[in-house]
Amino acid sequence: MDKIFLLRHGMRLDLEDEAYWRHYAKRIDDTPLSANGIKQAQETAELIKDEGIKHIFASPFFRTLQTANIIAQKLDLKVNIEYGFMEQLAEIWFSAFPEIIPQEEAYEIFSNINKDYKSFVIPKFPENVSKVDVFGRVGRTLDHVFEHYDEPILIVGHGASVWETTRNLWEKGRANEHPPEEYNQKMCALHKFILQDGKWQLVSSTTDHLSYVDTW
Amino acid sequence: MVNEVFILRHGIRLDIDDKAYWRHYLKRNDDVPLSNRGIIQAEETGEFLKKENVRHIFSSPFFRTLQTAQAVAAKLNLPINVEYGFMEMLNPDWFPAYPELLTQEEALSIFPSINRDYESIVQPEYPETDYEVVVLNRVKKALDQIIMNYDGTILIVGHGASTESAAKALMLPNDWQGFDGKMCALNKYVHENGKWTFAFGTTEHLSTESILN
Repeated sequence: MDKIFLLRHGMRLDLEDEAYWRHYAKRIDDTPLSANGIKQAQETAELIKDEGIKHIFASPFFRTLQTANIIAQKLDLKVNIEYGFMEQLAEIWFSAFPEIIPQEEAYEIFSNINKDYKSFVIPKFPENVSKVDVFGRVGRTLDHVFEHYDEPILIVGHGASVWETTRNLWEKGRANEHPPEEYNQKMCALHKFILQDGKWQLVSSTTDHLSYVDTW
Repeated sequence: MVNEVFILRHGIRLDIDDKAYWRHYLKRNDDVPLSNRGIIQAEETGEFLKKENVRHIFSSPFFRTLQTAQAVAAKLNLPINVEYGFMEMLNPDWFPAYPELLTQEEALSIFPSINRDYESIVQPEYPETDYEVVVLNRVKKALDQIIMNYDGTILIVGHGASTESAAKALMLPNDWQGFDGKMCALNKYVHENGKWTFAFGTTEHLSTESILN
């Protein structure tokens, strides 16, 4: 494997409607994309359709499955649901392990899910220290992915899980606690890593392909 | 007696801006809220109405109409009277049964401007298959009572069918031509010389073009 793409899901509906979202949501822990977020996912699919990606892994949340499925349809690939890339299970966000869309329901909504894929890692609630808890489980997940898949891959995750994946790909000792300037933290920012001289280099980290960029 | 009526359809619905997924994440599929664009439209409408002398607001009990009414009520510092006579047509093609809406307690906790003492004049019965007669009549019944019992300028927040019916009911027996049925379009009617006349129907207060559906 010599090329990895990391992607944070697109713009969230709850951030565009903070006043009312929780009053009409079926599962308040599992916000979907907003219309802007859906458009961002489509624009990202357009950007990476010719990159030769062979496998897509996505966190099991609604917004990451939406983002991944839109891309998977464009690339004619399956989505492997991997809990190892799920959102940080922080107690400031969740009071317990979050109630997310059940797998059977996800199969009905998202046409490209690979029903045969078994998630390698299931994180335990709570995870309050991203640089330890999320870093560790993303690392174990990556080891598994590296062992079993050897073509260019795309990972669709969240703010914390995408950043901790980046820290894992970089030399583990270096491991900045906070993202450096060249790392774009926006929703649907696409990070491209290439293996050069045995090290993963971040060659681009961009939102240039998006017509809408969040201000969060 | 009421002598000016503003008729307002709710803003753009979330299911229009997210056709693919909305039904999979809403708690109540019969009761779609506004989209982000719809919320902006409602706020712009409230801003526009500041220069008018609205004294009473009446709204359908649906989430999207209450959101629209609340955005206006907050700017005008008025209570919202929840009137079921202006609710969506209970069309069996749209609703398999009487629609599941917010309970009154939930609505009161979400929309701070709701007037808890107002008692709805009309309670439509499911199903409503006759738009021209049944919907028109229940809207007219609510409207006639309100016109008789309140004074000055009122605002009615409803749906495609109920706002159009309100315009028809006001203008009867004359034609209701000119009514703008787009989402968050504002229509103004004035009572002069013993009859209602259409003053204007506009979407010019909205920053982006609105839609019919």
